[in-house]
Amino acid sequence: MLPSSVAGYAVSGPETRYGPDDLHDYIDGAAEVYRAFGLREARVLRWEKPGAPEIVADVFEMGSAEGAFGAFHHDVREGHPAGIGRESERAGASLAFWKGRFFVSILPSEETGAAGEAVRAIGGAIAAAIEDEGDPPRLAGLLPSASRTVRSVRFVPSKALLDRYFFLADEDLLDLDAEEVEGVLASVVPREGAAEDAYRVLIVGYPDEGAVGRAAGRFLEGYLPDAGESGLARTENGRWTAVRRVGGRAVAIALDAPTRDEADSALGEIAMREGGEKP
Amino acid sequence: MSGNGSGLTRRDFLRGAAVAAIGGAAAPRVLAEPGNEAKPQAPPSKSRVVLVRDADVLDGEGNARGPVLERMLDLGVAALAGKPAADAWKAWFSASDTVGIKTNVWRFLPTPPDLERAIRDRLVVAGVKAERIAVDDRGVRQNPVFREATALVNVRPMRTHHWSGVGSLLKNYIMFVEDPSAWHGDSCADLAGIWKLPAVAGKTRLNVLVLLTPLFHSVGPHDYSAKYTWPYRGLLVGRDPVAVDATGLRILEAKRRLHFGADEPFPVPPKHIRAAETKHALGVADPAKIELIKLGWEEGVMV
Repeated sequence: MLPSSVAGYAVSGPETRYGPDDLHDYIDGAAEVYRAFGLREARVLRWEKPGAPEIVADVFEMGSAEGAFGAFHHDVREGHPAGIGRESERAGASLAFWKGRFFVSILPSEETGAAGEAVRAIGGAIAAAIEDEGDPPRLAGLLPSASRTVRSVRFVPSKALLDRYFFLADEDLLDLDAEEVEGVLASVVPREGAAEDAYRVLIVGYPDEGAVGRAAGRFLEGYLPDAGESGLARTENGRWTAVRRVGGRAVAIALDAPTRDEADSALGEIAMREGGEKP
Repeated sequence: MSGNGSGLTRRDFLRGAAVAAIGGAAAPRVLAEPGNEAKPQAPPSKSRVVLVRDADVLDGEGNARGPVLERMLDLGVAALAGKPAADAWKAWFSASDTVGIKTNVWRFLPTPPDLERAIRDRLVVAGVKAERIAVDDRGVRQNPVFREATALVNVRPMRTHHWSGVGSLLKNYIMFVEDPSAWHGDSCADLAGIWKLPAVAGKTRLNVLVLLTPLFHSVGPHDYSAKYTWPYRGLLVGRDPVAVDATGLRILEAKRRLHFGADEPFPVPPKHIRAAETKHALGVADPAKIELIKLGWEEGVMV
């Protein structure tokens, strides 16, 4: 998968491999993030070229394409797509992309145009060696239309990651740490509003209707006890939070929407998509 | 509001009840002086923070020039103490002290070794025995000097951080706890709580926040891209770590506004700095309560 030479660069030293238990030896602090996304193995390879910056590629093999999607979207992505893999980003001379079960980050030690070209070539070679394309999390397809989501759609397979993106509660009210439970979180621009009015939409999927019912009940009891049957309440910051079961196996929550109608319509749109309708 | 009767939710914070509900906020604490470590004192009206910048501190490759860095440190300490730097070190440290210099070894943006050496040298000149001084980061819990330390110097670069929003002076003490990940909840909001632990409580006599090439935005597995650093060429020096961090945070926020063209919140809100004042009463984060002295190079100062 990793090219031995490209754009005048040659591999320097042996490939290093890390598993979930020793990734922290390589990544300071953030190893927990990749473990949360289901890391199986990280492979690290370096390339050198006389008089040019060193290039390091980190190839993270996750347990699923969803995990690779999550690792890619863990960062705020403000750079330009590079057309590599399923989704990619160039940030200066560095490159990140995901494809199949793999999340790949390639970083030169210095920002130069030549290093950037070599990074791109290395990334292209790695992507070409990954056969599976991989799909984003199914729940991401239920979110309000892409034109209204801002920045990354986050994949949330654990409570620790939800805390990282949006602190909801000390307790795992939505059972995110349970088996076969995972969510997506996005910032959504109101139908009649600007990007700075964006609020969050969280969708969590469960293995069965019983799990959905328990989580929805716990969320209402723990976070929205004032919502009553409507599942909707105005919170202390004057904004609106609403929860709704969508289909048989998911819960959708609008968090801090600017109006009651906005919260209601966002959840309605998600429910329609889950039901196979076009909103 | 608490889920199932225990634990906090975002709504508790929204209504501001958390500050009162959690309790445990320490009495305002002044930084320790030799001989009065245990004496509570009223906080000063303002916390003094000194920003020193020098256009010549970085060489052509972005490395720190040691002699310039030493001069900046001395200028900052003197302005902070209102007396010659050598006198300030002697006022803050004595021959009876055992001093840990808590540094930061993050490989992309470590504390400059020349700065570590400069601090060590000044401690020796102030009378601290060389063998009772140690510089450490990840080994502080095992380091015999740190285990016996009567005083600490806290020195690290400021950068964005994937768990706490920014890597700050407050954050730098996370290596004193057995399980750092236990402090990651809610964007590490309670990091100031670490400063109440016996290993560090009341021991910090000087804080130096390095802003030579700060990292103002994080991407990638290593949180680092050179694209998101800039040659600010500054040091922030203070006795109140919260005030120093709050000032450094203002500089990073200003840089993010410049870079992104609008207010661009940190992907992870650095709420631990504000909480260090409002919840833990460790120091002050409100700029109105901070006396900022600016020395040296003025171009692009941002605060």
